[in-house]
Amino acid sequence: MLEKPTSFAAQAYLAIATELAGRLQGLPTTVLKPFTWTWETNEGEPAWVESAVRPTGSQTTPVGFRRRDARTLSVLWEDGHRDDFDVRDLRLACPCARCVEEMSGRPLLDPKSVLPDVAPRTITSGGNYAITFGWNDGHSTGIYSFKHLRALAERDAAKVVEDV
Amino acid sequence: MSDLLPVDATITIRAETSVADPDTCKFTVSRTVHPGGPFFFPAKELAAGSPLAERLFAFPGVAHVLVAENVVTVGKDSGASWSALKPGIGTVIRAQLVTGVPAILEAPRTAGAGGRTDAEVRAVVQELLDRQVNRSIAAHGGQISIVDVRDRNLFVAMSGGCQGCAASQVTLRHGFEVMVRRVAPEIVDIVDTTDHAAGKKPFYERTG
Repeated sequence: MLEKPTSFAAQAYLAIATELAGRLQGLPTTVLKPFTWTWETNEGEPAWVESAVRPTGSQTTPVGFRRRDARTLSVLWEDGHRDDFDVRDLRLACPCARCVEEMSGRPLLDPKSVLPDVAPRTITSGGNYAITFGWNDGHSTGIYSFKHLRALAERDAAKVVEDV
Repeated sequence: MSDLLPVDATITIRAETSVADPDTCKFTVSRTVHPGGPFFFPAKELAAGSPLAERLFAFPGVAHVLVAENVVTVGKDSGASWSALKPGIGTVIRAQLVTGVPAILEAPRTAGAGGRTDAEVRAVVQELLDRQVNRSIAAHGGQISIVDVRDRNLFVAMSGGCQGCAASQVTLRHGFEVMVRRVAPEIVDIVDTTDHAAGKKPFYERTG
């Protein structure tokens, strides 16, 4: 590249680099820094950035994660929407190939086999598109993309909620 | 107001039924029900001495109870109906908060998650091995034994048919580990110290 900047190969590399750099600019960026979060002690809890919310914000870009209580993970999305996930429901929604059949999407995980007191040990950011859980039942292979989380929240919106 | 079940209307309780598992319902209370925990009661017999859990199990159809600070998660038998259970569960939680008596009896079994020594943990895991684990994996000619418990890490060795077996890690992580976590949640890591490539019988042969 440096010796022969006008060579065919050098030109090709340059074109690839320019193309990739251009695509990066269009990607949504999250205000959250990478994190490794210990659930039980809440050590390393990510930020919760209300000021990053905007009406035209992305539906699949989180701007906040919070431990609402011992059993509930709250997510604030850039579009201002907030979702509260029960931690066992998240375990049941594990998208890994051991829990969901890869090709058909058929669930392989029987809810009855997941302990009622399952909880995350750690929650870790995965790049700028996902989070991963280390569960206290030893499972840790699921990559929860933000898209998957938002879709899960939409499915769960149908659940029965009432004050008793 | 009944003398038995006084009710404080300022307490709010939100009941949410899980979509993925409709037999569980999470009750989020506006106050702490019991600090610390989580405290899990997988069966009625284990609720003895804990007033809240005892009263919840008194409802027919309640299968398990989990109390974690201000959250009470209740599981029911598939035959029972939430519409019949939920109002009663709400009343019991309110009544519990009004009494001021601790909702949970912190017996060593539930509270001890942090308090047991390595030796005590070892004894519990040994009992699990003797009573359940080794009995079933012996069917495949295998055995798991404890090498050591140190700083809440459990070191095990797999012998017999397990040694060198490609499926031994499945047995370890998805069978044994899940069972260990149930009886000894304080264990941080389970380390397999087996040299799977060495030994007298690294590959199990079917003799039958």
